[in-house]
Amino acid sequence: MIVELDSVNKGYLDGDDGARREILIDVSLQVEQGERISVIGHSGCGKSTLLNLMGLLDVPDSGAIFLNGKDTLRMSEKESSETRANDIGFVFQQHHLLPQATVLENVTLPSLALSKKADPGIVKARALELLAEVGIVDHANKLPGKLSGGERQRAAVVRALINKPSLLLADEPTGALDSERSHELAGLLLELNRSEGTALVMVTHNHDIAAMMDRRLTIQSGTLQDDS
Amino acid sequence: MMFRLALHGLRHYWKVSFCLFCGVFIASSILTGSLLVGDSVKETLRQEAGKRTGGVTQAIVAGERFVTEKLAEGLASRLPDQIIAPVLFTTGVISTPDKRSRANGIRIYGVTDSFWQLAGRSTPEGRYFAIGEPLADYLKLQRGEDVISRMELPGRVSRDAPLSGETESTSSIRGTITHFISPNHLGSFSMLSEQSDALNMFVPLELLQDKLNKPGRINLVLCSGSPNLGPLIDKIWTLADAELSLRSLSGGESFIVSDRVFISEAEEEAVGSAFPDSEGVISYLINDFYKQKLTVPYSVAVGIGPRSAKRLGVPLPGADEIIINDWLSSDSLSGGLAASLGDEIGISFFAAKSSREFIVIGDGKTPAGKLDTDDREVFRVAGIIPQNSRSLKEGWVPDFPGLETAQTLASWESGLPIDTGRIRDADELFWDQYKATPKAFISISQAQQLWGNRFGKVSGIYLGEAANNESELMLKLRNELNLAHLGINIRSLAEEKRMAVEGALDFGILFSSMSAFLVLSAIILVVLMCAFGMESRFEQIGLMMALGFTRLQIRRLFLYESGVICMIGALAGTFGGFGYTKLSLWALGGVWKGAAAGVAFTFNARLFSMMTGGLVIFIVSVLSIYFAGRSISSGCPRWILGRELFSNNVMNASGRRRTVRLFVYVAILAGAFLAWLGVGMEGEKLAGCFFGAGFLLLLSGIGTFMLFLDGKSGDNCVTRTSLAKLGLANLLRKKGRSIAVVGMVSAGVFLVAAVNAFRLNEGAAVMSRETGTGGFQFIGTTSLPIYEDLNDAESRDRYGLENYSADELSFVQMRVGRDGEEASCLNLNHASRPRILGVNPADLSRRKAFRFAAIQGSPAVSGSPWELLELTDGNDVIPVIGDKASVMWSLKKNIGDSIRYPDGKGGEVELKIVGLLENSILQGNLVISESAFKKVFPDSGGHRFFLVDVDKDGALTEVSGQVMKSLEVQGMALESAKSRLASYSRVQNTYISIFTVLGGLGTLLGTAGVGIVIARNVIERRGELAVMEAIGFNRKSLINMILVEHFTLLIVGVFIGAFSALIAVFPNVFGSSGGIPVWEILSVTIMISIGGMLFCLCSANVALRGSFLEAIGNE
Repeated sequence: MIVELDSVNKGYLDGDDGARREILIDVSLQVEQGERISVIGHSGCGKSTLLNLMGLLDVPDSGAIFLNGKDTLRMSEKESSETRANDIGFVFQQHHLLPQATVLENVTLPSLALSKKADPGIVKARALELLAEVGIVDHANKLPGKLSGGERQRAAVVRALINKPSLLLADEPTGALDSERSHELAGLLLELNRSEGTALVMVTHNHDIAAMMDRRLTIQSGTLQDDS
Repeated sequence: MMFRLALHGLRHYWKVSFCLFCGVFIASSILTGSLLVGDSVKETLRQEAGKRTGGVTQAIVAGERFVTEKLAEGLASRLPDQIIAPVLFTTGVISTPDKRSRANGIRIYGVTDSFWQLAGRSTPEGRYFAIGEPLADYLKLQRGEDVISRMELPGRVSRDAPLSGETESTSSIRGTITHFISPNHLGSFSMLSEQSDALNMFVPLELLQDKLNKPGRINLVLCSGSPNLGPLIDKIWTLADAELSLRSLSGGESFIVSDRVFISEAEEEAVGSAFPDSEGVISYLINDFYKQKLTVPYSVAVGIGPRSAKRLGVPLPGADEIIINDWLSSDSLSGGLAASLGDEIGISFFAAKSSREFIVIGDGKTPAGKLDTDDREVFRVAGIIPQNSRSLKEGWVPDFPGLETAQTLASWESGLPIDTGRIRDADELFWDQYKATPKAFISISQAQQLWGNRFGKVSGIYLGEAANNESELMLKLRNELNLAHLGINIRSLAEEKRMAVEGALDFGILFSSMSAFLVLSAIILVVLMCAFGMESRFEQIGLMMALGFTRLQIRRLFLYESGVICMIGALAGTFGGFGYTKLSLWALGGVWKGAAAGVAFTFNARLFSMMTGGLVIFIVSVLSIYFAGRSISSGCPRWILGRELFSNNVMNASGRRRTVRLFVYVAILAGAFLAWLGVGMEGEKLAGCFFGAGFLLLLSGIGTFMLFLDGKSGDNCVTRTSLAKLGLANLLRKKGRSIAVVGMVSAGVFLVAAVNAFRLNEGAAVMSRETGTGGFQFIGTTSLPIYEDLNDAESRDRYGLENYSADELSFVQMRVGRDGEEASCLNLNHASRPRILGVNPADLSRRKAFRFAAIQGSPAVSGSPWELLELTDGNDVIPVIGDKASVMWSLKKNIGDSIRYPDGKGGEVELKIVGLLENSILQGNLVISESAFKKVFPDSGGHRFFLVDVDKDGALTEVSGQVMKSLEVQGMALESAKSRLASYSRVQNTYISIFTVLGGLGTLLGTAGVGIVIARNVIERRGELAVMEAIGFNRKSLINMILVEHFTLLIVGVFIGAFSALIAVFPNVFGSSGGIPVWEILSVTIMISIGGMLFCLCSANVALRGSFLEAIGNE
């Protein structure tokens, strides 16, 4: 088991009236290696919050989260960072590529965060291989500003996979793309999931793409329902 | 890779990088430039000090004494590798024969070839009469022109001493100027660490020795190199160097007598230790021996001990006994008193009251001439010695000045006010035959009690047969006495020069402090730029955290990026500092010349200062950036990535409002209290109270603005009927930024303007007693000492000042310590031995002169702090009063602190600061009581510093002209007390002006920060603005809206700052202090307002440039 959420609760103080708003209520979830899961739900239902909790970008109010058997709440900030670098890949709705760095530099960026420094040559070779796999290897030395939206997002996917994570978290990765590019990217993610053996959890509004996953989870009123 | 990434970032965000560079460059330029100003000042002072002493590294200074030339010769023969120059030195007045020009306080040096060797030039040919170039420039003298210099003819002992010879004795040299001596060749030679060039004259040594009647004598030995002179001198000094001589008596016996009449206590003790059987005697002039109505005028009596009595063959006289010679015991026809054994004889004599002021003791009268039955010194005749006894004639009386040359008793210029009319023929007959042979002897203890004085308690030491010749005597005496005990000091001029420069006011620190606001503004700019730069890259930070980068790694990346820029900026700034320094030096030579004390500075840059300036700014910028970045990157990665800035402060808002409101009330009340407190005060305390009140008002103003914003933010029903109102409403959106802008601008305006509260009045000094002038009209200094009391009618008559009554013209006379240096802000050098003045405290107590900033102790009798000078705790600590500025800044001391000061006896005394004067004309000096002064400098005589009271309406010029004319021979120079005070005040005021200008520039730079805030605000709201444009608002309207918003902040800031500053400078408005610096405050306020508006305008225009379409897309 890659990830396990056990009775997780999460809420926020509302910025307008200061009242507390519960986002996730008693959520439990297990994600197995190589598994593909989609999470859907209306805006503000807590999809991204769930992903952030799984990706150690946020901490639950109560409950527990285990990643590869380790209790993430007991991790220090440094351990959390190491875990994110080694075991988790992120793809966001926005590509968040560094405009000042080339595509190749952007995709190899996560290797710098590894606690055990990787051989730059090997990292570069893997980056070029992945870029070739997603079809943008010719753009490796270009700045992100020279790429189209779809190409940038593909570069973001490569960046998420460069450290061979066991879990890939994608937060509406197709949200900024048109329908055709969205399906292309989703296909690409699934293909890489297969080839890399990475578990994939994707938040999406697109039911077609959600349908391409092994499991479909829906968040409603803060609770998680398995629709698969 | 990280570093490459950093470089990419640097290039990609080049605008931010460039702004960062500018900020660091400015800060580094200013700090480095300030330090280089310090370097330049130090180097200039070093060069000046080098000119003052040239190759002279050590000096043996005899002070009031005169050693022999042979001492210098002895040193020269033992130090063949060094140049040893014997010098005779005195001070005087120089003038042209037509009195067209005159200079007081000139230094006249009698020198030999060796001096010119030290000066690095050949000896002027012939009987030269050389003038230092500064003196020549000062008097506009030409080569070949005649000049007359006048100087005091030094007595064998201080002219304060009784029996010191004629009262007024000056000598003059008239000559034709043969050479001008450049400062590079010791033309401005001086042993004092002074600002102004010394006015020097050089003549051959023999000429000056001749003119001063000191053949073979010198009072200064100059030396090159660094040999240890002390042990050498100890080996070679002779009795003549101590102005002692061995007087051989019959029977192989001997006496030590002094050329200085009285033998100092140090000498007496040393001889006593070397020769335990020796015995001191003291001779004195008796006005009258009298028995009933018979009197014998003007005779010498001697105090003796048992060995002397034995030598005389008489019993030791008891406390009330006297041994007389048979001439005195003879009948009245022979001139005597017809006294027999057991008869009572009275004596009267002069005792020194002050300088050359004597009172008669033992005449049965008060000084006012009234009968005083207690004033009797009566002795019973216990023995009579035959007048022709050999032992009576030998040795007892020293060579009183004038004694050898006096043909008659009446012509003996003893220095005492002798009434020659009372001298009888019989007395002259005695004189013809026996000169000053003593007529009576009393016990030494009684004699010392009656005639001992600060110059010594014995006038001769009877050695018996202990030493027959000088070499035998010196063999023992050198072990017990060295010349330092006589006040003959060895001074390391090289070390003093180093101390004067190293300890001088550090202009580097001064300028750095005054530029601190400017540097701070530049750093704030750097931090703002960096913070906003990082804020604009929030997503990058969040992403990197999501990718597993630790905060440390992320901060390091940003530090690399900004560090490179900071390094380049700091490095460039070290060279940019050159420009700042040159500009500052130019200003110090022009508009800020008041702070330069007349020095023309030369540019100097030390690598160390350059590196320090650059490095400090580099470190400060990097640290500031690090901490700014730390706060930004310290959020949860999800917040950063999603920009979901949740706040828990909502619930605390009302609590904060209460706290702020309370703070505002307290600040206003405290400010009002301080202002009320200040109304009863004067000077710095008044300024301090109002400055504090202004500052509290500033805080309350900012607090009120916070409350205003808080109040408005709760007002949700506000109707925005115009863009201007909408702009105003926008102030509430980023309250923190709005408050920061107002705080920054108001604090800047306040600080820059309010510091002018400490301006001192230069022009219109109030002439009341409790002011810096002490109520005196003039300060007077003389080149030659004045021994008389100028308030005394007789003295006035003598000097031609009899036309002025005591009410119209009066003097407070002060003694001046030898080798004292000006320790005021007009001397940029560090004064290691500030000038000591000795005053009769009653003269100042009576007038309640000057205002005290602080005192230690309580003046119980008169209530005037001057009384503290007389209050000693029974120990040797001497109370001293000094000007606060001199004590605190030049001497770096405070009230209650002690200062070790070299005395005139080769030792040190402890001076304890018991009072600080506030901004007074006595700046640069330390004042002790006259009685203490006489103890510390027993050999120093006369007064040379005067505070002059003139109370004659409309006749100030006439009176001062007359005083200077009457005391022309003494070189009296009068300076208006107002003008002296103004010259001191000008320095402080110039510092304030410098701060005002630099602080103003700093605030202006700070307003550039306001521009950055605007730019950031606009950029953040581009989407919103785009929508407004889309629905029909034009660009101009949007710019106006933005400007209204930020101009409001600027105006509020300027208003709060200026209004608070007005309170702070309130005392100046009403003229009780330095007058309101309208121009400075107004120009700074206008500069900041206009500058701020321009920055706002530029920022708004730049930020609103380009298409908003993208922004709409993003929305």
